[in-house]
Amino acid sequence: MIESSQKSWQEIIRLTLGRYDEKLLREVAQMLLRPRNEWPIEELIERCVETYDNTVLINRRIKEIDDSSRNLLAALAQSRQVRWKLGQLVEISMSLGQADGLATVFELLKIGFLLPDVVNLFETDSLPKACKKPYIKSFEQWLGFPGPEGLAVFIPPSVVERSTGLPLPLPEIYETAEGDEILLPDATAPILQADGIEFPLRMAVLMQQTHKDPLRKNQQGGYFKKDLEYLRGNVMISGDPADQLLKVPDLGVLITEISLKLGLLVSKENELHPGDFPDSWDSGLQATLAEIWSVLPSIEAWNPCSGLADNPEERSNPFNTACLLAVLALGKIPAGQWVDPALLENWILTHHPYWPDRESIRPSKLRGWLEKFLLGVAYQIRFIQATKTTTGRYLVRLSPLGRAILGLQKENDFESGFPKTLLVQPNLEVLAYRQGLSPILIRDLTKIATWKGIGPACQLLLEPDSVYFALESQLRYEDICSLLERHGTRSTPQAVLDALKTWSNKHERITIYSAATLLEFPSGQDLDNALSRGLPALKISDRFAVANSEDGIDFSQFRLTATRDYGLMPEKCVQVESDGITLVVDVSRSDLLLETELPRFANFVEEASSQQRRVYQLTPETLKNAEQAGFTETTLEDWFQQRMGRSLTPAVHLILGPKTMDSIPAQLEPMLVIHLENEQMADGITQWPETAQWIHSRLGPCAISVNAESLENLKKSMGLAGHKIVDAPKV
Amino acid sequence: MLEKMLIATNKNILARIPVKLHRRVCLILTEDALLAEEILARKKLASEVCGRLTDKVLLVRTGRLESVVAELQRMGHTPQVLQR
Repeated sequence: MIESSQKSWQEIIRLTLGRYDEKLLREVAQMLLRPRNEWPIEELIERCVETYDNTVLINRRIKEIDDSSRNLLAALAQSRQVRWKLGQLVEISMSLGQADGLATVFELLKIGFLLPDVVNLFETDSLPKACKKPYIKSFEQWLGFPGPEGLAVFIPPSVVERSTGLPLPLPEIYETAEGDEILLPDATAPILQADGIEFPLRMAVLMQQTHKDPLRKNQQGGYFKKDLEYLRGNVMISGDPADQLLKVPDLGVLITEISLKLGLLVSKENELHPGDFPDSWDSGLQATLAEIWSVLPSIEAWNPCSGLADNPEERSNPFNTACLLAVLALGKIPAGQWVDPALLENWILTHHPYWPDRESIRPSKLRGWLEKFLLGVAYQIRFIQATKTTTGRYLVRLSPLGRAILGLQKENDFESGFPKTLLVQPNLEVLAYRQGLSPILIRDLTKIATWKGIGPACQLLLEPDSVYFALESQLRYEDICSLLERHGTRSTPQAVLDALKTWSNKHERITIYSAATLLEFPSGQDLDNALSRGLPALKISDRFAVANSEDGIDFSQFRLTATRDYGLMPEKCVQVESDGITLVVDVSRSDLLLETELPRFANFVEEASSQQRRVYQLTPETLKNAEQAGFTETTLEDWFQQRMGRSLTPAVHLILGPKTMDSIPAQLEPMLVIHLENEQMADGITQWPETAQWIHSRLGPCAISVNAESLENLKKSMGLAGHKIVDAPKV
Repeated sequence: MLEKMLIATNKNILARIPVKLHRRVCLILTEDALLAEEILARKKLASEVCGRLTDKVLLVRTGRLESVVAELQRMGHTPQVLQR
């Protein structure tokens, strides 16, 4: 999922407008910024993008649009959701009294307050490229051929911001039908309001549990039966909340779907793995709950009527917009006034376009869903306050936090006032009293300890695995201790500190760099010099330093002699000198493995080396050591082939050659050498049987050897052919 | 003379240091050489290690990070994995 806050909305709008055909773009621009000149397309897009930041102009345009469009904008603004399915907008618009909901959506598309979601906002991790050939010729054409992204639109955040205070055409009073009992709150009944951390708690537990056992989804997006059973049976995720007013069907599925939308879980190849905690958790309870509220309309796999909506045919459920409308309707009622959820549900059923023909719908599908949503979901995210009537039924109203999130009242401080809420016990168990829990504390506790139970007092356990997980999240031993001290009602027991210390020490014994940058210097002096200039790297040998990232390295201090990717195949980068034992490494092409291989069978010759070439020498000692370390002649032969593209040199063969008693030793014997005038003559002597019988061996092209006893006979034979053998002049 | 020495020293200080970069290197850095030996003595890990750069630094084969971490955890270690 793309984090909306992180990406540039300007870029998204630019990409979207870039897909508009010129005629359509000029029509939208005419409505949005009313240019006096005919700007080129690129400039027109830029001006449109800039217009969204012009609050005065946006306010003016909002005033100019018709009531139905303004009502739809007001509803969308209060929902805090920016991406909508087209059908949902039609439903909302029609529920607000507009006969043709699609016309309202088209009006907003034409003025640029809604834009087709061609970048798939919540599905992809990166934005698509700019479109070279605009393909949206008109919104009617887009309706017919929306592309793979589907019929979805988004509302720019600046428009949301300017539309937040707009009034909604919703009733302020819901009257009971004639003859029905008028429900009044029991004056003695308490006003019930949840603490709002139930959902964040369950989401954190789910995230932690998927770290060990990821949930799986099938290709249709449904849950595997086994995983669904696990979710439904998991007390901490699907169990009844401590202050439950009404049971919510498939609460675990809802928690999972919200976690997916918020990025706490991420889908990788049909498996749900833990993601990251959203930034809103840092900002406190209100921001966290506002974000949970904002994703509710986009959840398709769950509805308050039947719970899991696993069947793709049931996905087009009306409950998302119906529940949103119900909460918006509660916002219209004067603060402090109670409403019977059944009356509200009746109003929705009358006005929502999904239920025009109520006779054909089963009563179980028609009634009771709103009460489950309000008292089960909205109550748990602290949107709703509830109280009982004298007959024991529940009445509801919007809570101050709900009103603040909808923009109906100024924000208050809804944060917990009990920072000291943990009781750390010597047996490594941690009790977290609920009154002091906040999203940020839940997040931190999830990182360091395993949730064992959630209720009025939550139980956690500090375990090696959980602490390891914390250390992997870049927390240090000091951070963990500080967290426990800061929120502990008592000082952390020594036994716990000792255990934490042991685990974190163990963690620091082995460090794995997944994709480090290794800096290789020609000499240790150069490395020391670089470190003294502030190179952000760790020295790991006299010539090597490792850096986890190149970000902090000031390359203006260095002259790159070569760059080498570790993932590439080894290259032929060694040459052997004519002596057969001196190996010269071409530094610009050598790789790191060579540095580990060469010292095993050769000595580095520093005086013969330079920045561009490193010289190594093979000696009988080095080759003997290599042999003892398992570097056999075959291994060495392979290495020569891989690194030099040739076989072992004769000199190396000589050193490595057989030295056992069975081998034939070199023999020493006196011999006479006869040098001939040319090769042809030597060939003749060795071929003619008369002379060949006296020759011992041929030494070279023009040299032969003869025994002293055979010399006279050879001279005679040569004489037969008219040749002479004379003594060489003495030196 | 002193001036010449100062200029030479300054040049030396300001000279750019030659360096060769090895990018995307996957390596294990151990606290001591004994630990590196222990890792190399483990058959499954030894096959994933393609070289020993120093007595405490082992080079891991490309793409074998996850199996190395899993095997280390099986050995009871809790390696610190630095992702980029």
